Amino acid sequence: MVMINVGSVTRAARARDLLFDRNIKSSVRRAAEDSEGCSHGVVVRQEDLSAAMSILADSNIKIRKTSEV
Amino acid sequence: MIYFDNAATTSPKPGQVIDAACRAVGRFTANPGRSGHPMAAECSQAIYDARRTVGEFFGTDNPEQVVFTPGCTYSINFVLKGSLNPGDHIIISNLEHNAVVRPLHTLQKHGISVSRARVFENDPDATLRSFRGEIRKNTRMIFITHASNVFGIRLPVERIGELCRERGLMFGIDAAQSAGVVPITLESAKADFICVPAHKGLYGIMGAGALILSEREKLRPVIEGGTGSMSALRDQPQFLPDRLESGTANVVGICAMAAGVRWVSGKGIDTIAEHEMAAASQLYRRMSKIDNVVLYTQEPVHGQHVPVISFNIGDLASEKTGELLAQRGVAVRAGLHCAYDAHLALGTHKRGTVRLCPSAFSSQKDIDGFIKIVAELAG
Repeated sequence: MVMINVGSVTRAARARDLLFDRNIKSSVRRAAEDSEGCSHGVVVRQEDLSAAMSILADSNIKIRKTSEV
Repeated sequence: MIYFDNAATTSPKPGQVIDAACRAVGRFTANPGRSGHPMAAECSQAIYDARRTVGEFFGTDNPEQVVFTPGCTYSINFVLKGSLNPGDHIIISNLEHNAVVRPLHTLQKHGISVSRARVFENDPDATLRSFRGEIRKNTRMIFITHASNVFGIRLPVERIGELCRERGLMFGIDAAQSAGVVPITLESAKADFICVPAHKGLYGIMGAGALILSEREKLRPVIEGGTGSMSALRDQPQFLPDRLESGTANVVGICAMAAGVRWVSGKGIDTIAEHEMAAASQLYRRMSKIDNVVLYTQEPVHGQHVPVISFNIGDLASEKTGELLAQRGVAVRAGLHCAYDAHLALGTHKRGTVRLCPSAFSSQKDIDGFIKIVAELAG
């Protein structure tokens, strides 16, 4: 599983909804580590990562980083 | 009690709102957005759901463009103090509430200039001309009430919004008296900012409100602090809603607000408006036939007014009339209604007025009882 870190909990929830609308299942999770402090993201399956990142980029959701979880 | 003080806050609240507030008190007891444990996540989800509900009601499908605030006054302060700079000019109407007038009075001391455009009751063309005539080279924003909280007179926000788009101005709306009674969205009004309270026409509880923003906005935060995000940075996060939402959220107020919006949507905003406007028209017509009752506007008309009426009885001070009505079991608000400018505009600034406003719950019995008591006082 991979976490796509998007920043706020609100943005993470919106990201989850956008992915759901495109048939990608994800869940909101708080990042375990973040050099800038606290953040949230969505956790997706590895095989959905590429499509998920593309969908989020199309919706102007800036991806801060991705990490395996 | 005959409750016609709904312009101050609606009462009673729908059962769904009370249930949502009670549920939030009992269930959402962790801090949203601050932790990863299930209780915090559940609470964050509740806030997010509320954000979606409120956003959809005001025409945005992006929940990040909905900022929850402690009330409409805060939303207005965030807009005015977060966007204007020394040298800027802003146009407001001559019917504004102190929530607009006072922040701008302070900003005037910091090099921001303010003009007041006159509103003409039942004449949107004249009102529009009035606003157009006030535009200067350095005008940055028009910020207006959607409807006067004292006299119920509506402003032609859609046309003023078009004027702002045409002239490249930011446009903000104080929808304190209209939200839940008059349909309004960011797109329909061509607005950049819609400021709303939870506890009036949206039937939520006091202490909550929202600021709905267009994606054109670039507001500076007025309040900064903890957001549960980017905590290692000294700078406030630049993304919404965190940029404008510092400190722990009013979870109960927000959940109740969303329940109120759902209740209004379910009942139908047009159905509510029809009921309230019919009540206001009947009250106006019957009061106009009572000797000694002084009314200050034309009969409330759907499209030109919200259901708010101001009146006085004979030479009585408005506060005295309010007191006499309270002694007889009638709740209204008397005085200046935190809107001295509006009273100045209609010449009622010396003694104020008595204001009444029906709600979705007002009944024929309330109207009949009120008219009987007013007739007795005026006789």
